[in-house]
Amino acid sequence: MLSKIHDEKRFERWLYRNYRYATSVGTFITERINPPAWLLIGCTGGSLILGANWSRSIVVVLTFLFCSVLFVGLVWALFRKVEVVVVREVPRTGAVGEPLPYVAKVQNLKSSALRDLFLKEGGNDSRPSEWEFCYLEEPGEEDRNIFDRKLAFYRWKWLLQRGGQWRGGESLGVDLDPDESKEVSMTLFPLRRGLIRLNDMRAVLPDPFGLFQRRSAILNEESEVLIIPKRYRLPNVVLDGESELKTSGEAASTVRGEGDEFLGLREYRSGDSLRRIHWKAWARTGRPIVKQFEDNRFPRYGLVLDTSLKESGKDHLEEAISVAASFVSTLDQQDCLLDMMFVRGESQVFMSERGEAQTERLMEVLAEVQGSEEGGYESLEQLVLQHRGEMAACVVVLSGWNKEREVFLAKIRAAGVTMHVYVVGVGEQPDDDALAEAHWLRWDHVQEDLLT
Amino acid sequence: MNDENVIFKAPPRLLLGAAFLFWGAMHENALAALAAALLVESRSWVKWRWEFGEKGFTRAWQLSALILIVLVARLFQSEDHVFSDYLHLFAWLPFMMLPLGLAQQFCSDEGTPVTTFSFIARRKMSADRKAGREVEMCYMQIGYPYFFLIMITAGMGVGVIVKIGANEIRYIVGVSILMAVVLLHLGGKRKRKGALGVAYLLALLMTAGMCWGGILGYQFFMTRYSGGGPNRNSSFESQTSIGQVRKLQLSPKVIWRYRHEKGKTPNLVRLSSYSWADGTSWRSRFRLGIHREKIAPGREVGGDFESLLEQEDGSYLFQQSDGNWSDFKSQGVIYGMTSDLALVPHLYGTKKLGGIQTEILTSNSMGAIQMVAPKQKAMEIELFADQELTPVEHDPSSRDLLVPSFEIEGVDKFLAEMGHVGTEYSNSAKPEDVSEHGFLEFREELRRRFYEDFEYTLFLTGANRLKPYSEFLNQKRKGHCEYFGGAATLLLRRMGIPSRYVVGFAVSEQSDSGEYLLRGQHAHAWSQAYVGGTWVNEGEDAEDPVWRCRGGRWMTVDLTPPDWLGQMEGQSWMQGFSDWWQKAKTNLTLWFAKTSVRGGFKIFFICIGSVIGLYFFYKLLGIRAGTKAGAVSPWEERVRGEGILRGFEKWLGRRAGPRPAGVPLASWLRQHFPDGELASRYEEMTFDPKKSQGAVSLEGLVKEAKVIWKSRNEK
Repeated sequence: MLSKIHDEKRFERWLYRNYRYATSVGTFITERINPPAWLLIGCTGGSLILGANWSRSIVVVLTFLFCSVLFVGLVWALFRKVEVVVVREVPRTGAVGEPLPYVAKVQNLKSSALRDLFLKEGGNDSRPSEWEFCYLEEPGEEDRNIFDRKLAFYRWKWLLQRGGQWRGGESLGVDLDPDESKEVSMTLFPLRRGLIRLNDMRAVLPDPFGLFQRRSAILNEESEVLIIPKRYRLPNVVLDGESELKTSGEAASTVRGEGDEFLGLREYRSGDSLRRIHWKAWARTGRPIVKQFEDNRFPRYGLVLDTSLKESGKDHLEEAISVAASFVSTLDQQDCLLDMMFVRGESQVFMSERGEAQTERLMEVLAEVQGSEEGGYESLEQLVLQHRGEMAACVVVLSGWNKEREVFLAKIRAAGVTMHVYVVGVGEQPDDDALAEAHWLRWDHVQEDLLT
Repeated sequence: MNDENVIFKAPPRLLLGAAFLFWGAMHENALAALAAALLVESRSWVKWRWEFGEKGFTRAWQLSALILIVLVARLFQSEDHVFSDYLHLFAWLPFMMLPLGLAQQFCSDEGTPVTTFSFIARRKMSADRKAGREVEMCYMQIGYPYFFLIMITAGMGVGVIVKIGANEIRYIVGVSILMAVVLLHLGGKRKRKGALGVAYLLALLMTAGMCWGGILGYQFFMTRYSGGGPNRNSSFESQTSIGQVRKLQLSPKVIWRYRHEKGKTPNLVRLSSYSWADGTSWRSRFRLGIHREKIAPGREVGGDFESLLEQEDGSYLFQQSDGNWSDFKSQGVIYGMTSDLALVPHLYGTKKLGGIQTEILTSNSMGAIQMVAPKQKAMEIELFADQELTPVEHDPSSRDLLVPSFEIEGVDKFLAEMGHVGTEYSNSAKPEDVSEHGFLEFREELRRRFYEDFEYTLFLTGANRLKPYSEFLNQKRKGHCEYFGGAATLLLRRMGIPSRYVVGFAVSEQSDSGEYLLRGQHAHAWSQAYVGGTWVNEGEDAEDPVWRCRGGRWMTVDLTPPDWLGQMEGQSWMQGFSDWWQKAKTNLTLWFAKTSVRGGFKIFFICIGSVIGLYFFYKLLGIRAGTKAGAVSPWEERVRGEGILRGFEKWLGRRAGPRPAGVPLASWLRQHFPDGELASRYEEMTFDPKKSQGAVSLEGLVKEAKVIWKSRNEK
C-alpha cells in the first residue's frame, strides 16, 4: 500500500509532510503561548506602528511596557521547575461522548512549595496518517474550488478535527507544599471507542500574568481505559418472536424479572434504575454505586452485527457499532439475554452472554470490533441458523447495503427467524423490496431515524 | 455558542469606561470621552441585549470601517495634509470603532464572530454552508482588544518621550495602573496576586530602563543622522533655493487669486525676501548676532518672525503708529486655499491686513507674512499698502552687501566685462553711499546686458552648486528667473548697493471677472535694492561698528527678460474646468468658514444625527431580543417579587377575608367576581405574557373590580 502511495501521490505526500510539520510547530507554540500573549504581541506591533513618531507621541512607553511584560512573563515561565509524581485512578471503561471523570494523585517531590500547577494529559496526537490524508476526502470536497482541492488544506483541517482519541484531560490549578500529596479531579471526553492509554502526563506551569507556560513531562504510571461505543436512545423496543421465552443457562423462566440473588456492587451507569442505588456505598465512596443481582428469568435474543467495510466506510461501521451498542445497553435494562454475533478476522465469534454483569463484557467486545474487507456473510449466516432455535428474535445491524447483504438477509428470513433489521446507509432509503421491513438509518442522522 | 469557542473573557466592569476617561484626560476632550464611557458602561446598567448575529456584527464592523475610510479619504483629499494630521485622526480610532464596540457590549452572545473582520472568510463560510459543509465558528470577545486600542490612541499626538512633562507623567501613570488591572483579569486562569505584583514591578522597572535607553538612542539618532540637533533649520527660518520657484512654474494650477481694489495695479506681489546667499540657497538671516533688532515683548513667535498687532476692527498692523492711517494708496484682496506656515503674497508697502478671523499672522524682518496654524482651509485677506509709510521690512545692514566668497571672482569678472570694478566690503570701514541716479544708471545697464546676452529657459542649466551665479553670468548665460534674480542681487551688492533676493508672483493674467490669477506658472524671483539711503554706524562699540543704511527706499530690480511669461505653455481645455473647480472649492470653503454658516450646519447635522439616532434607537427597541440568558425582565422580576395582583389581593383580603391556603388566586378572584374578566386576564398575564395586553389593562380591571365590590357592598 505504501509503495503505491509513494508512486501516485507525490504532491499530496509533500503537502502532508508540510502540514504535519506545521501542525507540530503550531501545537508546540499554542501549548506554550496563551491567547492573552498573542493579544499583547499584536498590540505591541500596533503600538509600534501607531506610535512610530516619537517626537509627537508618547505611545512608545506603552510599547516598552508590553515588551517588558512579555519578556518578564516568558523568562518567569522558562525558569519554573517541577518535580512531582502522578498516579491516576481511572475507571475501567468509559463511553464515547460521555465525560470520563477520574482522579489523579499528585505528590510534590521537591523540598519547596509548588504553586499554580496545572496537569494536562498528553499523547493525544490528532494528526492523520499519510494514507488518510492521501486517500480520504472531506465530505463535499468535490464542491470546493480547484485551489482548495489541490492544496487540500480543508481536508487536513477536517482530518485534524476528527483525529485524536479524546479531548480535555486538564486539571484546575493546584498548590502543593513540600512533599504534599493531593487528589486532583480531571475529566476526559472520549471521541472514539477503543483502548486509551494514558501515559504522558504533563505539568503546565504558567507565569504570573498567564501569558506563557512551561510544559514539563512528569513521572506518571500508565493507565488504560476502554472506551465503549457511543449509544443512541432507542424507542420503546418490543422484540416479538415465536419463542418469546427461552431457557438460558441455569435460569429459565416465562416471566421477565429480576432474581433475588445479590451478586455485588458496581459503579452507576446512565440508565440504571434509582431503586438499585446502594446509598451507603455511595456515601462511603463518594461515587454513585448500584447493586447487582443475578438475573435468572430472561428471554433470549440475537444481535447480528455486520462488520464488513464493503460498500460502506469506517464512519458507517462506527454508526452500526453504536446502534448495536445501543441495543446491548437497552436490552440489558429490559432484562433479557443477548447473543451477539459478528465476524472478526477469519474466525467467527459467537458471544453468548447474559445478565448485567456481562453487559460490560459485550461493550468491551464492541469497543474493539474492527472492520473487515471481507464480508463473511456465509459464516455469519451459518452462525445465525445454528442458533435460531434458541432465539426469540434477532436484531440485525448492517453497516451498508449491497447484493451480498440482501442475499444474507433473504436466507435468514427464509429460515424463519424473526428479524428486526437496521441498515446504516447514505441518504434516503433506496427503492428496494428487500428493505421494505428494514429500518433505514442515514449515517449522519442515526438518532433521528431511530426514533421515527 | 460554546464558551470554549470564545477567545478572551469580557473585561471587568468599568474598565472600558476608565480607559475612555483616560483617553479624554490625555487629549483634553473630556466631553467626548465621558459620552463614550457612559455608552460602553451603560451595559451594566440596562438589561437590554440584542442578538446581532453574524450579520449584525458585520454591519457594525463595516460601519466602523466606513467611518475610518471616509475620514482618511477626506484628509487625503485635502492638499496640504501632513503626517501629524493622520496622527490626530487615528487618535480617534476608538470612537470610529464605537459601533463595533457597542455591538459587542450590547449583544446577547459572548463574542464577536472572528469572520466579521475578513471578507474572504465570510465568503468562504457562506460557500461552506451552501455546500452543506460543517462550519466551525470561532468567536472573540473584543473587549480587551478594544481596551488596548484606546490605550494606544490615548498617547497618540500627545507628549514626547524625550521631554517628560505633566502630560507624559499622566500617560505613564495611567497606563501603569490600567495595565495592572488588565493583567489581573486577562487570561481567566487564577492568579496569585503576590507573584503577579512582583512580576509587574519587574516589568515596570524594565520599562523604565527601556525608556531611558530609548531616549538616549533617539537623541543620538536625531543628532547624528536626522539633521536635527542645534544646527537644524526650524520651520520659522525662511529659506529658498534654486529650483523651488521653477518647480512651481511647471504647474498651471491657480494658487491665489488677487482682486485689486485701489491704486495702481502692481506687476508683482511678494512672498518674501532673502538676504543671505549660500550656494544655491537664499536665507533670511537679518537678526543674527549684532544685527538683530529687538522684537517687542510678547510678539516674538520664533526665529525671525513676530506676531502682528490686532486691531479692534479685526485687522492686523505691523506698527502701532499705522493705526490711525486710513488713506492707504493701494488696496486689494487676495484669497485662496492655504495651509500651516504658508506665506501670503502681498503688495509692496503692505501695512495692514484685514478679513481674517483669528490671530494667525506673523511677519519677519524681510517683509514675509506667514500664517501659523490657520483654523480654516481657505483665506481671504484684505491688503492695505502705502509706500509712504515705514516699510515692513527692516532697513538693510552691511550684511546686505555680502557676496559669497566663492562667487566674488565670477561676479567681478562679469562686472569687469561691463567696465565696472567690484567693491570689497570691509566691516570696519563705512560702506560708500550710492546715489539713486547711479543706481538707476547701473540698473539700466544691467537690464540691457541681460536682455541682449542672456536667454530665458525653464530647463535647469546650472551644474555648479557652489558657484551657480558665476557659472550663469560667465558661462551658461541662460536660465530661469531664479538665476536672473540671484545674479542681479550679487551684482548690485558688489557695486555697493544693498539688495535682497525676492520671491513672489507676477500679476499678469486677468480673468473675465477682473481678478488676477496667480498660477504656479506666475511664480517669479527678482531682486530689490535699497536706494537713496545713508550708511550710519548703530553699534555701541566704535571698534566694532554695525552699519545700517537709513533714509532710502526699496526699489524693484527685475532683470528677467520680459518675454518669460510668454514662454509658458498654453492652457489646455481641462485647465478651464480645473480653474473653475478650484475657485468653487475656495469659495465654498470660505463660505463654510463663516461663523453663521458653520453654526447653521452644526445645528442641521445635530438635528439630522438626532433623528437618525432616535430612529435606530426605536428600531433597536423593536427588535430587542429580551434579556440576557438567565436574567429576568423587570416585569418578570416584579411578578416574582410580589405577584401581579399582590396589592389587590391585600385590598380584597381586608374586605372579604384572607385567601384560603391552597386556593389559587384566579379561583379566589372568580369566587368574588364571577362575571369579571379580572381572573382570566390575571391568568393570561401570568402564564402567557406575550398574549396579554399589558399591565395597564389589568390595572383598569382592578379599578373596575374595586368599583363593583364597593357598589355591591353599598347595596
